[in-house]
Amino acid sequence: MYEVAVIGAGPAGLMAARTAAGQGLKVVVIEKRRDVSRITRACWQHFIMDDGYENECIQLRDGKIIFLRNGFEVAYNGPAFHITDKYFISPRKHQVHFAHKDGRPIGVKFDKGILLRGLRESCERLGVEFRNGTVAYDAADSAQGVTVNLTCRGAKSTLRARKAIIADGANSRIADALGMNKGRTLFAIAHSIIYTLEGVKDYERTATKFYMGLAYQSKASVVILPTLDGDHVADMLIMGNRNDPPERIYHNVTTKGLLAPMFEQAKLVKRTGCALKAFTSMMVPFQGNALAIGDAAAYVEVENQGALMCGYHAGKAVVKELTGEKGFEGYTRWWQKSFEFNGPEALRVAQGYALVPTYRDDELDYLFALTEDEVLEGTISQYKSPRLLWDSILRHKEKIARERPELYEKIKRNHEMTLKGTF
Amino acid sequence: MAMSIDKDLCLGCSCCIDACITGALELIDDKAAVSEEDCTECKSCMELCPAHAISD
Repeated sequence: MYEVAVIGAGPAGLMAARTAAGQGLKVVVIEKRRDVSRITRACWQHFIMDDGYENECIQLRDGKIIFLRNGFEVAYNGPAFHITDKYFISPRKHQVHFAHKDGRPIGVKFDKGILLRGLRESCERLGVEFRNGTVAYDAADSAQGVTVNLTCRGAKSTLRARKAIIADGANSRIADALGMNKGRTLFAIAHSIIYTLEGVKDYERTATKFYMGLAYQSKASVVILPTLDGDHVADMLIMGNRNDPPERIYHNVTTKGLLAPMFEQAKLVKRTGCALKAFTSMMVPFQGNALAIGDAAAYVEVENQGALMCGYHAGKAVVKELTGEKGFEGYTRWWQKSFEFNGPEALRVAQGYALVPTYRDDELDYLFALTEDEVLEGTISQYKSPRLLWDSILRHKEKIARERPELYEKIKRNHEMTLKGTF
Repeated sequence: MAMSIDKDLCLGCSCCIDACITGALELIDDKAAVSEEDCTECKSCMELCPAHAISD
């Protein structure tokens, strides 16, 4: 029997395996892919440089990602491309602009394949056993340990470990199998595809742009993102759902909407996809001998840096558990205070601040135009941006109340969900 | 008895694999592949596929 089984070799799982093995534990990692560094699932692949994001402020230097507050480092020797600006853009091209005055990056694009390959190599050096091309499809927990059901090229087997770290991502099969999703609410299932395109016109390589409004032919924002591949290669994120498939939205965005001219000469290089079940966060992410980490326990996502932190703390926690200490409880305390989505009423707040599809195209034009006299603080954080945006808009609240009383009432109603004293 | 996967539409995102409770789905050469023996046609994978690559 293994001491630790890690399900999933993404950044969370690999970091957990490395940390546990580094303290002498016998670890096995189960991963459905043959090659951990092949990325075919949609992922933004950026580091968020906000001071205080997830209670940390990462630094990239000397071939490392440094987690100052959490006290560890991860080697990364791949490309690092600076994103300096973020925009929300309305149908009539009114812009909300986020950037640091000193031009320092708000985000850094990185190569996830290189990161994961490096982590895997460090795991191998520490004697971690890998079962690649193997799907963990079911599991059961008991006092003696966790039994995991595996399939590999159709051949079924089981594996037992005293402790299991569940790191198989946002739609975690194993968290579900162990009954850890009880008490979580499923909000929605988002279907996303990221299209990598060559020859996109009017593409600003150092910016992330969110195009908002039905005139862009999508109910959700259409996001144009930097890539590592050069000045003329852009990523475009299209978000839809089962009834509004991304492929159809993509066709409309590139041929009919306001962005169509950008794609006249564009060539599709590749696509990556993701269907994501948005569950409320697993507030207590452990049960018996199993600890769920990273996206498997999150509201939507922890981001790559969050996954590395989860892995580090989980690796340490499982060492404690195996010596009879309450390691998983310690992990839970760190988990609860480090992620915005674990805060009280976080989802209601997010809903209250949402721009699309809540506001009409003409309302987005009007509101974004109000912010154009200032550049907002540089942030790529999905939590901070809405707050900064609404603070900026509501500096003009008398004007809004006077010129657009219906809109003003609509904003007030929506912000009743945010709890903060915006009004 | 098995779901059917269109390899041209399949993106290899592997979300379908996460949905399968009988271990009937695997990633082979970056594409989803289904085992006839293990598939119960519950359609969980089909519901989840963002590329609409799975049909019954």
